[in-house]
Amino acid sequence: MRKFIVKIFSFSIIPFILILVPTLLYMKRDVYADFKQYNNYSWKYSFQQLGDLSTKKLLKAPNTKYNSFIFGSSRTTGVYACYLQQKIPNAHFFHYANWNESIGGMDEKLKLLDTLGYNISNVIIYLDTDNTFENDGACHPSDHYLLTQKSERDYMLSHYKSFFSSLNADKIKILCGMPVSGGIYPNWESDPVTNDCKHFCTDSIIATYDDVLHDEKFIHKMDSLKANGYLYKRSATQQYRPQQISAGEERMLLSMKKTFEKHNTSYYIVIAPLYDQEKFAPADMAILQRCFGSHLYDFSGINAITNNVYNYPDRKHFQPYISKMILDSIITDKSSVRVQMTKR
Amino acid sequence: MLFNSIDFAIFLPIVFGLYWLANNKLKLQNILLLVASYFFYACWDWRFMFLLIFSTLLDYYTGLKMSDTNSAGMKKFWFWLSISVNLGFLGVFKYYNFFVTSFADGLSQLGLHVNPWTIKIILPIGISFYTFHGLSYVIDIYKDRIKAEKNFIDYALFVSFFPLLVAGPIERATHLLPQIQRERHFNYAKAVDGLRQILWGLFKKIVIADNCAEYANQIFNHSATYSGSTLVLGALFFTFQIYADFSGYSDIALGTARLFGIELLRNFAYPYFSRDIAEFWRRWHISLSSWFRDYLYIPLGGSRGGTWMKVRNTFIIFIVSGFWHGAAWTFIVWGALNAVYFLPLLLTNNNRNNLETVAQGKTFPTFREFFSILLTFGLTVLAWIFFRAADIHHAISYIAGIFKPSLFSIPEVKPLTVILLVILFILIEWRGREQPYAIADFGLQWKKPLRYALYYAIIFAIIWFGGKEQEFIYFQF
Repeated sequence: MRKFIVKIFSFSIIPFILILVPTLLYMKRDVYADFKQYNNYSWKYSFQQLGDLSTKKLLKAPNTKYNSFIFGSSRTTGVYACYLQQKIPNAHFFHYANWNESIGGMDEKLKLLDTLGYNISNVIIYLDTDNTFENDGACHPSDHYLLTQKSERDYMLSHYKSFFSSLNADKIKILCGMPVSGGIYPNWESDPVTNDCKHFCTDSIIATYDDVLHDEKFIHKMDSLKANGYLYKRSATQQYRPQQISAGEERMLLSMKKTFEKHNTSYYIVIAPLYDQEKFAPADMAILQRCFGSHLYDFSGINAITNNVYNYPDRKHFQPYISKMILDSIITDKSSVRVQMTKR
Repeated sequence: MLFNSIDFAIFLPIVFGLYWLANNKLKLQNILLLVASYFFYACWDWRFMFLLIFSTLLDYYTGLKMSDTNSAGMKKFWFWLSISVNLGFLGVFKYYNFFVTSFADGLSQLGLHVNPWTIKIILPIGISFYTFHGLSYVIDIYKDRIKAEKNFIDYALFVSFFPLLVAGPIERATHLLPQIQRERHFNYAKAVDGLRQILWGLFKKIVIADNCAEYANQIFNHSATYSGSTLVLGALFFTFQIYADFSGYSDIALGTARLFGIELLRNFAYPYFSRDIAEFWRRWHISLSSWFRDYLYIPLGGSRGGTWMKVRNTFIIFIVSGFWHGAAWTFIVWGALNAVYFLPLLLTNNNRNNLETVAQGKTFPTFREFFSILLTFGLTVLAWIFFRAADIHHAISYIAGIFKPSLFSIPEVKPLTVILLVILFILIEWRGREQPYAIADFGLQWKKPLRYALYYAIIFAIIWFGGKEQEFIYFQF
């Protein structure tokens, strides 16, 4: 028996060291912000989940700090909380978006806010025809454990496994404390108060919100993307997505509506104007209309926004001024705001 | 707790340490193992502990009653009481909703519409396995093959021994109880061998099964959108997933038991190298197929009697085996399909060929053996489609989807790393096919640094190539 124990120890020394050292470095670098609290949480590394970071930030704040929230996927990065606070009196917005946000993720975030005792006075939601209703609305597995209902231990372990399971040169550099750049290091600073992505809320940001990029360099880039097929030609007739809202997802929609009714929320559900110009299936639209009625605003499909390819810096996202246009049209009783064309 | 979890990695050394600290104290060792086993089971769902304990008490008590009585009538009474209660629980938890909804569907075909009263019930984990442990014990007592175990701790440990509690192998009282009853002394070589088998089981489960599962699920869940060649790949991924998952679990169970000085029944013997379906069923889930052979097939008459009897018994055994796996028509069709495969061999008295390992002592099989292996493998893959599909309609449309011109196109899903890992896995299994498990003798003649390097490489592969964690497939049975 002693020989067996000694054998186990001697065998385990090398793997132990090989596992212990990277684990200690992982804890020291704290790439997912799991071990320490920070003054601000920003999307530094591409493997972090925005919703997870936002939840950590929210949990640090008192529940009286915010009464208004923005939900949705990366398409909401063009929704500026600071601008909304100018439009809606007494609104204190928190940008609570997530990468590839699902309807279940949004529902869980609303439930969390309700549990934490927040007043939910105003809500802006972007629904995407291409990914909001996937996987039966399941939360993103990397989302915060208070949303995914995992234990805190499993949540931290899943971060650990995820980091080391796709180890590459950049991650090794991060472990060693060396600087990294490129795709793995987007380093988007978030506003410390509103949590707006990629910018701090300043007057100049609001002043340039409806700037339209229209210089020659931009036009040339977009024309090249069209020419090489990246910005593909869309169909001339209206296309519809296959039916996608499951029974479980419909229950999530009703749960969200119940939360809104409980808080007497002013809420705006926007179907985002995506490049593919596809609309929800009629059956899905009927579900959404049944749930949200006059709170639902459909900007998807073939229209003036989606027809203009210059509104899209890539196939998945649209320019921030489009979001401003949407917000102005839905919040100011549909009075349209002229978009200013300014040269950069 | 899963075998491939940190919880188990903490649980096992603690139990191992305490167990061997109680060396030469058999009673204490058995109590410790029993407590550990109940703790292990309670980690899954403590509510079903009561069912496990009740089933254990029932079989213990009825076993004693059968042994004590001289009356054939009373013996029969206790026997049928145990059988009916055990099967009753299994029937309610596992099959009630299936029968009720199938009955309602059948009536609706006749134009009668009823609202089936289904119950929302969770299937207690391991119920199919520990129920069959208990049944084999009771049947063996009834048939006077063994005497009832008077020591409750020993009997309870036989039913609940944690390595085999949730997914087998299905042990026999004649094999396991004597090991529980006699003293066990630490054996260094067996313990090291046990660790080696655990390592190989983890490799099969985490590297092969979990990686194959990701693509099998993707292809099966969206089968209507994929080409024929992709569907073939999906079926192959599932074929290796289910083998690596279940045999990996069995390897971990056997290796773990060996750490405690207990030998469990072998459950897999390289079934995908079988040259015919009869050989496949002698090598796949051996503990279950031998259970059905001994407790159902032979009592029904086996392969004695006329052709009709043979056909009937073969279909019964395979369909019941399919049904054991789950309450769904797909499992029944899977079983029936295997019966159709098996019958020609039985009726032509060719079901006892190929009793030895293929290409024994040689490196390569003959051309004929290779062709036979491929044919048997192909038939098995076809049957697995029913096993995996959501329903019969899905299985049929999946198979129909394969036999289209797109069968000859390049698959849309081609995870090269996983394919290479599967090929490597097949080669290692082929090399080790005459051993109890593939790496049993791998590197034993090498110098220690090289041997350790091999084990480190397997551990590294488990960490690096570990797929997205999936639950063991056979937990659902």
